[in-house]
Amino acid sequence: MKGRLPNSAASVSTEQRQLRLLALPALALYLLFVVGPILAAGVLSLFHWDGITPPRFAGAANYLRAFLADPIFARSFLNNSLYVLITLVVEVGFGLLFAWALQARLPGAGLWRALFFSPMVLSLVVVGLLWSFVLNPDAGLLNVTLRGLGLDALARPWLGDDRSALATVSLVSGWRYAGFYMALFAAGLSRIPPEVLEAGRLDGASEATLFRRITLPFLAPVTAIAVLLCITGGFQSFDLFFVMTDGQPYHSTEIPTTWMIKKAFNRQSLGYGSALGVLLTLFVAAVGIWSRRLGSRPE
Amino acid sequence: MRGVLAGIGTAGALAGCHSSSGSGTVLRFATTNPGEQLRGPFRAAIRSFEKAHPGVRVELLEMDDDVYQKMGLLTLFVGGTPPDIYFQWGGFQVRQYAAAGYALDLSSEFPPERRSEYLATCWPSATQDDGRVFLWPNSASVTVVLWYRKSIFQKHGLESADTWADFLALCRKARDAGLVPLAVGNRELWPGANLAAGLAARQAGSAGYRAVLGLDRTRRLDDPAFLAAFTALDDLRAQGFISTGPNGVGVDEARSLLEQGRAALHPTGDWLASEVDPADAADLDCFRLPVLPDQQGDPSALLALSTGYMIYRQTRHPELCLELLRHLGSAPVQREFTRHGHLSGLRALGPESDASGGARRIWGFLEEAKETALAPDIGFNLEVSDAFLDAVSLLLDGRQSPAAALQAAERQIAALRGASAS
Repeated sequence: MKGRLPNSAASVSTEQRQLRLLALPALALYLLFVVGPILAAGVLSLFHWDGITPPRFAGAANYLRAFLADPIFARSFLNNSLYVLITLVVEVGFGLLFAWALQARLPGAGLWRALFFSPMVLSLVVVGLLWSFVLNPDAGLLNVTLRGLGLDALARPWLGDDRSALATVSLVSGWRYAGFYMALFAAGLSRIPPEVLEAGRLDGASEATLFRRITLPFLAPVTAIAVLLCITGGFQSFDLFFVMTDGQPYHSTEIPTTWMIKKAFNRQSLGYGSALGVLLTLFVAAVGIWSRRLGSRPE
Repeated sequence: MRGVLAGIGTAGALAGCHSSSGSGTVLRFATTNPGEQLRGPFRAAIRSFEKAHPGVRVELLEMDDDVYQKMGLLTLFVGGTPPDIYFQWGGFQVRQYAAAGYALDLSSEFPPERRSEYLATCWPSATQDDGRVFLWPNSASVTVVLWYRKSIFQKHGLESADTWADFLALCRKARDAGLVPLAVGNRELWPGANLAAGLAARQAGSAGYRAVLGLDRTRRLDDPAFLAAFTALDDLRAQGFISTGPNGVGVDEARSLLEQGRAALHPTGDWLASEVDPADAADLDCFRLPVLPDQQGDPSALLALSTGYMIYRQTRHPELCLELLRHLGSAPVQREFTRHGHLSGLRALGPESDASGGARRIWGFLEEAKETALAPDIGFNLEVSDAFLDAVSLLLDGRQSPAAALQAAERQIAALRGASAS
């Protein structure tokens, strides 16, 4: 017995060494392309640098500027939060409703499912361009249709009016992503044991009650994942905003990522742009951790 | 420290080495996308240079205009892999890169007699205040004119306008014909700003315009001439002559209104002629911004610039770089380029007789121009440009009066104006 333990320990140790060796290439790539740029951004954020003239050490000045002297950065977080709130409803909420409605054996459910999911195959840039033309105030399909129906009063510059631009982008985002969440919830729904629902029906529960009392609790883990994806993804949005509005009008659709790009590159403030990037990273990480904790709470 | 930052800035530094190696010399040449028409001749010119210089290879780093301007070139420098030769829009960036020591002084290549071979409009954007040349002019460009489709004008009996009163009458007639008089897409902010700047440069005169945007301490953005230009633009908006919700519409969408025959006019630069299909280009024509009441600038005044190439001062191959630019700037190569829609800066190389009417018209404007000014986002401090662009965006939606928009912009840059004086 005595002799076997060291042998076993040696075997485990060898195995661990081999595993570590095998992980090394992946770890090296991760350090180079993920950890490295994050650290680089952290270092850059402590400098004033336009990329052309020599950098000057700034200490915490870039961070202080973000908090104290850049109202648009604060506004961009507010805009992004509103966007996330709207998309929670139109992406996750409608995704759940679609999945639930299509779970019932409706005629042509497969076709509807494919239709709802189809926007997901388009890139966000294509979606943005497509909708920009649909929403064009003078010649876009939406306003032309509204005018054709005699609803001229409803026709408006959807993306050109700061009162409607953010909501419009959020709805387009919902159009793109609702199908994805529908697929996620459909997978969750398929795992609900049919006998549980059947038992509920036998007890006389309505479909709404079944949804509230059985479906939703069963879907809690999927819902938590969907909310986490929607929130963290929402705060990392860029493409759709960049293509559809680029923060316009008057920064009403400015979000931290578009503002960060403008500051870092368009205005050549690489240090300040990096500081905004670091703050955004910390914020998204915090939101992610918070959402995960919320999702993993015991029932 | 810069080396450290550059080192951590990008992994590209590991790969991007301009060199003389066993396989020969590589010249790294960063440029914007030359466009479909010009790509072939441009690459042919590069190949002919390589052929004439055995062992030399030109590595082209081509990027989309927008990407290049906003981050492409900067990323090459930040990443510690500066190109040997790089494209640049004349103006502020030329001065900035030169001031940072990133540009070779090209003055010896351009003695006075050589400079006179180029259109006068090329030099303000290619030189420093002290007259030193850092940009090798390649093409001449007009930043804003009013484009229209000849067939649409003919169909509705519209005529180009020389004066502001004629212009208002034209807009009214276009609107009555069911057209959008002026298709403006200002999502990118520069299109509306260029229109406003064009009016301001005419109203203030080029020197006055430069003084206001160039942070002259004796001037302000709410200068009477700028106020008059903004008021003229506001008048267009108030009369419903500008397309709806311009701040939510991209420049391509606005252009498509013209192409579809839904808009009478579209204000943009000479590049429109090369961006549309050749068949559509034949239907395009343009006229200068109309003469404003009491304008101080010359009626021929333009918002214009030169684009061209700069040489990285620390390149290991300055003589080869110069040879390449001499080759690209030579009359035979430039002539070949003009056959493919290029507007050369060389005075002797106007568009060929078979070029589109629009291209010939633009060339005529360039030849006639007695004074030129640079667009806000090309010629001036970026923060000044931002303030101006924001003011125009607020004006175009009627969110602020001309005076309020300009005063707010002036407040934004007041500290800079003070600093420029100290």
